[in-house]
Amino acid sequence: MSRKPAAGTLRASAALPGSAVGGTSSSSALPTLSSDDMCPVCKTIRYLNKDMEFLINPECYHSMCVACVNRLFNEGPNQCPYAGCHKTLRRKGFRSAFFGDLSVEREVDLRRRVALVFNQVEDDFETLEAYNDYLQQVEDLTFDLVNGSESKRREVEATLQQYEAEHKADIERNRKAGREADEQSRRRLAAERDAARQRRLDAMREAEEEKLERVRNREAEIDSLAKGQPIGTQFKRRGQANRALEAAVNATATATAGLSGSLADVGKLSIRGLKEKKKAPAPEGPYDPFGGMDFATSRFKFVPGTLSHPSIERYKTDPQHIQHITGGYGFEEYTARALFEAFAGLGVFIEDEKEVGIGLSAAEVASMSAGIAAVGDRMDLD
Amino acid sequence: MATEDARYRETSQYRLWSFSPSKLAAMRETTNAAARASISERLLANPPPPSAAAAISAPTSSANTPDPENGGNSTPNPNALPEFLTPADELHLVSFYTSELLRAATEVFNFPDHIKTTAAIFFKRFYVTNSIMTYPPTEMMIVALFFGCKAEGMFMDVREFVQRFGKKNNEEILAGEFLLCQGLRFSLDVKHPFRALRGAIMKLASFDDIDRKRLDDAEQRAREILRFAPIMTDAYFHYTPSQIMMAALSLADRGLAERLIQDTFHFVAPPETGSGADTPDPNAPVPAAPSAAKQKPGEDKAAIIGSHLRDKVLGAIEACRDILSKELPERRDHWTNKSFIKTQISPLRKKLTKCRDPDRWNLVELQRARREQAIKKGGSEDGDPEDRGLADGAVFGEPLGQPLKKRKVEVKKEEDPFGGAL
Amino acid sequence: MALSPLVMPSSADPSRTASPLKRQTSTVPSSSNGTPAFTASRVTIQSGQPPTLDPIEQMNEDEKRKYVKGKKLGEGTYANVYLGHSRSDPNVLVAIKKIKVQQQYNDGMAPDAIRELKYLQELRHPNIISLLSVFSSKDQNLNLVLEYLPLGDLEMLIRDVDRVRYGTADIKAWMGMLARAVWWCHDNFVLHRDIKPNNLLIAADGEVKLADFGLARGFADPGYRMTANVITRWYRPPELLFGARHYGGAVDIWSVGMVFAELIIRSPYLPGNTEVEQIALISKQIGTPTEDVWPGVTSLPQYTVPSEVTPVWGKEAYMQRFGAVGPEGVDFLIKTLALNPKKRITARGMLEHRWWHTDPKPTRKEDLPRKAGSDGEEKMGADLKRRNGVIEEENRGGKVARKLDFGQAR
Repeated sequence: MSRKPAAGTLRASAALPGSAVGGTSSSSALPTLSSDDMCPVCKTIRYLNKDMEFLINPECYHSMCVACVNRLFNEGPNQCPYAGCHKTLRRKGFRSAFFGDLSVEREVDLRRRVALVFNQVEDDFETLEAYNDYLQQVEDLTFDLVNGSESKRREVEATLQQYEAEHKADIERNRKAGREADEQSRRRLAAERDAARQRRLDAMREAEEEKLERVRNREAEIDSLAKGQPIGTQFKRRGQANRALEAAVNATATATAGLSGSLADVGKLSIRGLKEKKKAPAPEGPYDPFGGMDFATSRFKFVPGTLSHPSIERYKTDPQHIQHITGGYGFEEYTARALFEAFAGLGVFIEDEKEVGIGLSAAEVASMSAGIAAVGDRMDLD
Repeated sequence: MATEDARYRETSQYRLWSFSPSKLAAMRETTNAAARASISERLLANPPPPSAAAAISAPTSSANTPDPENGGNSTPNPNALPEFLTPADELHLVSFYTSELLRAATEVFNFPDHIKTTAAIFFKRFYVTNSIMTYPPTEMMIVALFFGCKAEGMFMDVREFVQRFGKKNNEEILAGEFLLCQGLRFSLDVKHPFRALRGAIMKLASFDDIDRKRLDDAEQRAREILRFAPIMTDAYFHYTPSQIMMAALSLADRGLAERLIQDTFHFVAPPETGSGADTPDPNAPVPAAPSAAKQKPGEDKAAIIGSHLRDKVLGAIEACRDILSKELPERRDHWTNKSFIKTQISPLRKKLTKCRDPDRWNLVELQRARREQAIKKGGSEDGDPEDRGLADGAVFGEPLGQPLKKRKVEVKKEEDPFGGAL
Repeated sequence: MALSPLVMPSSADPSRTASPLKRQTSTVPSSSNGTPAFTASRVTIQSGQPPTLDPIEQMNEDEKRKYVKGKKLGEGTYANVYLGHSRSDPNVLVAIKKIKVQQQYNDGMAPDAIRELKYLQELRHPNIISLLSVFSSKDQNLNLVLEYLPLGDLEMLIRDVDRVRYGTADIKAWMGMLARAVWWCHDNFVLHRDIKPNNLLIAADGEVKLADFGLARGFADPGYRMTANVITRWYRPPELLFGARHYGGAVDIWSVGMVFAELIIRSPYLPGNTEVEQIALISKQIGTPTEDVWPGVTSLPQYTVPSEVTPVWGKEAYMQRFGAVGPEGVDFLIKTLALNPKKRITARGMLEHRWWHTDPKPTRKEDLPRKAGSDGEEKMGADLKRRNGVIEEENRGGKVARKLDFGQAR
């Protein structure tokens, strides 16, 4: 709901000298901060005081330079120096405005005031409509507060105070919840930053170490060569270094996967943003690469290399057929297959089954065979 | 239940082409009856020319006895139907042609075992769901050989193929190919016992106490049996390749087969576990009621390799043995024996020439007719149905109209070779 | 299921193991006189009329009528693919692949068709495309009814670098599915021989399925020669490039490794334009196959390598390029790209590798990235899922501007 302050409402009440001088935008009633050239009260220009700052007082949103503020209000409350503004101002009410446009500053302050009282969140409401109605209500009040006449404003103010009194407990609760949420997000951001920094450090350190390692290994190799030893013995150390590296990269990968996509730098991949896991998925077990379908054989146990046949052996040794080996033909695959086919269907009784049907479903078979496989190693299945 | 068995039950051979003996017989009956009916219709609608009509004899009550041509019927009865083949006749002919197929595969082409056997099984399967009166066996035999090769990964040039048979044109084979595929219900994977035999022998060899020569002899004999007996009988329909292999091994060397079975099914349930498995184990005490879904390992093992199952398996192997022993390799000569052919086969063939399906006998024509009809009815089927403005229901050209619908319903109810809805 | 040529029930269905013939309702009297057992009326025959239908043809017709063919999804030299749906349940979508009569191949049914038919029938696994039914059309063409996989293939995801992003966990999930598919094939003694991202289709629930068995064949018995001219060149292993006629499952494993590499770097790893170039690339990027790494290689029929011998890459070199998947992942990759097929990891070995159990855990399939943009197919699929008249309400709140928070003190 956007609305502009009615042009001229406030202007009529105060003929501000500042508006003639500083404000170029006549649509806003309140002048913009004369942050560039001159204090409207003492007419000091920036040339004279380079670091001139301006303060405003939320009572009337009139701005003046710090020197004026101090001069006028240090000894106690005083009247606002602006012509026509008779508000009594105090030194401590003055602060620097965040926004250049003072009307915005005013509105923001008002909204803040309202938000202190009306601080419910969407989750507090049953339906979206209810929440929207609430928001509408609040907006209406705010509008009246910002733009309404003097009397209207007083009304709203009264309403606010009344509401506050009534719902003190709720307001306090909501406020606390808001604070906690902020705290959490702040903590998370800090953690992310730390983790990123840490990783960078780790990675650098690892790179350093690996470089050293390599140099060391090379030297060791040369040494061992000089001494006439086989090279293989040196590789253990390298393996250790690798493992450390792996751990670091793994940690990286975990951290990366958990982060909301910002600081991932591993490889050239672009990591997706983290999905909001509001809906906690059902706790999943560990990943099963077989997808639950590993049927171990139950009638026989094939140990590669234990079975052979003369006609197969021929293919392995006959130079004419050496291509079997070089091409990667699997003799053991063939043997496993032969064994499988020898037993597959041995217990399938077609006459019975095709008449009557069999009892177990595939799922039951799978679980049974899993059970067998577990026990199978102990039994002498051969 | 063993995982190997569960895996076998997934194969199309088990799912689509395994039946109990009574079922198989019933299917053959149904096919035969359906063919007789439809051929009758066609012959009645298109009576053959008078010269042939004279040779047609009226159906007799017992159509089993081959009826010699009698000139008794002086007046050619346009409504007279030929004498049809009985299911037994059909089976006899199919067996004969199967033997011929094997012979051609060996002598003309020298195909390896798996191709020969696949082709032969294709041939047999085709004639379970189709009658030999409908489609010509001599052509289908060649088609089966050709298609069997392809199904086993060996793609031959069709012209080269037909040349070996002394034929000139390859259209017949190509025409029959799709028909065969359809008749096989599109399942092209046939599981054979040959590799299983190798596996069994390798396993036996690992026992270390069996004479190598004994193993070799047994393997050789068993292999010979497997090349002929299961194919000529209905073993492939009633038993699994593993059982067939065991039966053949048993015929070759009973001791070895029994040794292998004993070794596989050796599990003895310990006394305290009650066997709640689907088959009661006589070794265990009186079975307790199966309580939980998770059965104890002992029960699982009993179900898979326990003694009860062992006995059942032995029984199956015995039965298979009996079947196989009817067509041992020595019988090859029987099927090629000249006098046998003259007395048993030729009459049937002659009978066949009279009662065959006029529309379908010529495969090439059949295919052409079908293709033309398709084009005529619905245009090229590659166009989108929307393009041709056809309604959703007309998927592939217009429906054949009311009579088809009516027929469909009736067929479903009464004459259903595959036993109704799945 | 009515009289279907194929029986393809869903997995936990106890009736799957029952015989298709179990419930034989009809018993045809086995009378041996000539009277027909039924009196179904038929289309009367006139000369020139098409032949009527046998029982088995009728079954085929029934099967065909179970599916309603829709628009064409694609056209190739080998087959046309149409979208279709089950007549009884329009939500069940299928892809009807109609095999064309090949112009070049004059010897009847094409080898691809036969192989697809044969192997898809026997292999049933969540990561392998399902063959739901087969029937023949009136003009005697083969129609395969396959499950409909609307989300394209893995190649699309890999290539769309701008709009599709994925990470290590996603790669791991996809590789798991691929490995399972290959393992199942090999466990059933089938070589796929055409593994590439293009043949890895994605189902609506994110599951990756291996498709296109047109080049598949069963494992050979010893002594049988196979053709070396299989597998798309970029994914072809060195033993085939060298013309080996006896090989095993290792050829598929090499392809798996190539797909893995491609997933990581998002472009084909070794895109050679000729066989010779392919060998050169392998030689340079993996290592030159020589007698010491691969005894006997020089005796292969078409053995030829570039004159410059590159030593086999070590793990550090792979880590530089493929390190994103971590050291375990790189170990996995290296094992699939072993030059000597005897040393290459097996399918089972892939599934038993440590990589699956290190972090990160593979993404759940529902959460895997999907192809960008709303395709017509996708939308249609989504549309069909929705109930009529219901507007989706879920995320309206996201469009409402967030409330500014003035509660903070400055």
